[in-house]
Amino acid sequence: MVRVFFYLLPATAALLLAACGGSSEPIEITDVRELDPENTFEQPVIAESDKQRFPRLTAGGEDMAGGGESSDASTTLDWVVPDGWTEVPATRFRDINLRFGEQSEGECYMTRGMQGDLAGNVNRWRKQVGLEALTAEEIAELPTLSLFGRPATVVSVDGPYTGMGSKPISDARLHGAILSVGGATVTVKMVGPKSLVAENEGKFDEFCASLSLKGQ
Amino acid sequence: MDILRSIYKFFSSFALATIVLVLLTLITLLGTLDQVYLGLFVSIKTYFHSWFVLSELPSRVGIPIPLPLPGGLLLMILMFINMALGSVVHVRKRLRGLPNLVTHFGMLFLFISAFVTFIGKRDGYIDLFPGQSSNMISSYKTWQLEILEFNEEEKPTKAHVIPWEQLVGIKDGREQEFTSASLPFSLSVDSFIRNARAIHSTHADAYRAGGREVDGYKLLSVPRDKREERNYPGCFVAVKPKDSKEEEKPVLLSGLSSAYMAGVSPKVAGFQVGGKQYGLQLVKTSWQLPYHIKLDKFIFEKHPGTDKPKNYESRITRLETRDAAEGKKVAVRMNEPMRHDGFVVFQESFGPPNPEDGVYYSQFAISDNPSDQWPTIALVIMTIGLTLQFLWKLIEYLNKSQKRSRKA
Repeated sequence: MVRVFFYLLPATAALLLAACGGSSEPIEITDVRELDPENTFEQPVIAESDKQRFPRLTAGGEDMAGGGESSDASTTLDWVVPDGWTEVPATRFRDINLRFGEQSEGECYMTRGMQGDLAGNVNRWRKQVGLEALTAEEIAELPTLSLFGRPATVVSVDGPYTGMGSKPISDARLHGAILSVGGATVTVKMVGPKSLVAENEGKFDEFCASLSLKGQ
Repeated sequence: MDILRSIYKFFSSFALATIVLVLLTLITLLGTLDQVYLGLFVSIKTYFHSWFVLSELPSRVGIPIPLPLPGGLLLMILMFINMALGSVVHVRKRLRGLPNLVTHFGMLFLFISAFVTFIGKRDGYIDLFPGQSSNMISSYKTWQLEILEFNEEEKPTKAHVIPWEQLVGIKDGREQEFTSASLPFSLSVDSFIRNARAIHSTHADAYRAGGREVDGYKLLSVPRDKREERNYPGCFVAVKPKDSKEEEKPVLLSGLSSAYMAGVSPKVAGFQVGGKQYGLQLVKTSWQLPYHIKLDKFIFEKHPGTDKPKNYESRITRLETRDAAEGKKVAVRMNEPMRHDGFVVFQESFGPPNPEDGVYYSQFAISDNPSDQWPTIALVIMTIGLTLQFLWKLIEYLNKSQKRSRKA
């Protein structure tokens, strides 16, 4: 019995060492595939720079002050994508980018670091559906919802929508929330055909409620 | 001999069948509930494709004790053995028992088809814009590292593939070397992360990324997404020329680099050894269809005055080779897949949302399942068995009724 223990001890130690770290025996690559150089469909090309290989994080890159890039929201924020909605890759101005509707014709996105104050953003959204600007008193009367634990102003407007980077929608609803604290502004904007947006306002509230800073 | 008889009795017993059915119900319930936390892919792997499960579900509702259970794979095998012994081997062979025997054969065949699906089925997809053709299927969930050989015109001619199974075990702090007799260098892969982002050192979150910095980039590990298809791996690779003492040049690879739009060429990390051009990329695991699919036309119709889809379908040409002048014209619609050469091509979806030029790509789900039609066969066998059983019982009942009426 004791002898068995002495045999097993070094074997177990070796196995543990192998499992914990260090390099193991080289592995021979056996799967080799011939490629057709004339097949241009999704043919890989050599990147000219790392910036080209990692485009999402370098969008805007060096042009932005301080060398910052469009931030990957998943590293700092938590959120839950409502049932039936899908998430698509973030873009420079859309830190969280969601779609809904049978043809993904509705979109909802969160943007951090928007320019302008609350009034500027409310009236920019109103202008996108062809409405007149509101006064500061009228904006103060708008409803609010909780975003990151603070009251965010809710804007819900209907009309023909023309927004940056989106297809024009003739009968649209723009439903969004703007949180402006100090110099920082966060917006969550949902836009799409009016009836579809109306159906999804509950899910918009769910999404806003789910947004939190990581670890909180 | 007694031991063998006891084993036989145990495996063919009703008690085992009952216990296995109860446990199967339990893991089905737990696996379904845990899907909320684990996601579909991980939940299926943990509960149903496993020998044993240590369910963490109780800890998710505040009970800090994991629940050990037999896994779905073990239970299904036990159920198969139990049914084979109890209902086929053990049962008395007589004409009257034939319908029952046929029904159980059908059920056993269903188990076999499920097992063949488990070990042999592959699912993937192909995205095509109209006019494009391809035979390359991409996996939804797994990845591979490719070393590409380029010719003088910088076009890829050969891919040396390191499969997913060999990559996933390379955790932080470990290093794995890969060699090939036909390559003048070896590769050393380390810090393979299942969900990672290549992050520039000037990025606001760069401080969270530990480890090395390569050409201004670091590898940031981010939490695994429940939906496996949304995890993009990353790793460091060092190229070691075999016949020189050249300094190893580390390369950072990210799966996001190849998360390209349909029809757009992915950008690979290039390097030269011995004057020849090579490239490295982390891409979705891929395999080939034995024929090419060319998308001739994608049709998307909406109900008048609404955005609701009325119909979407793809008109394709099935080509034996990429350059074939003619092929078979097929329409692939929702619930009307094309079955050919062991592969099933489904109309899955399309994109991008709201394309600026109005041109959509069509996405086909490709299923490669050797037992694709076996469940249908199993159901036919079971239907025959049950029909015979019912007929037998009906005849028995009618005979008894006749006898009773004669006596009366």
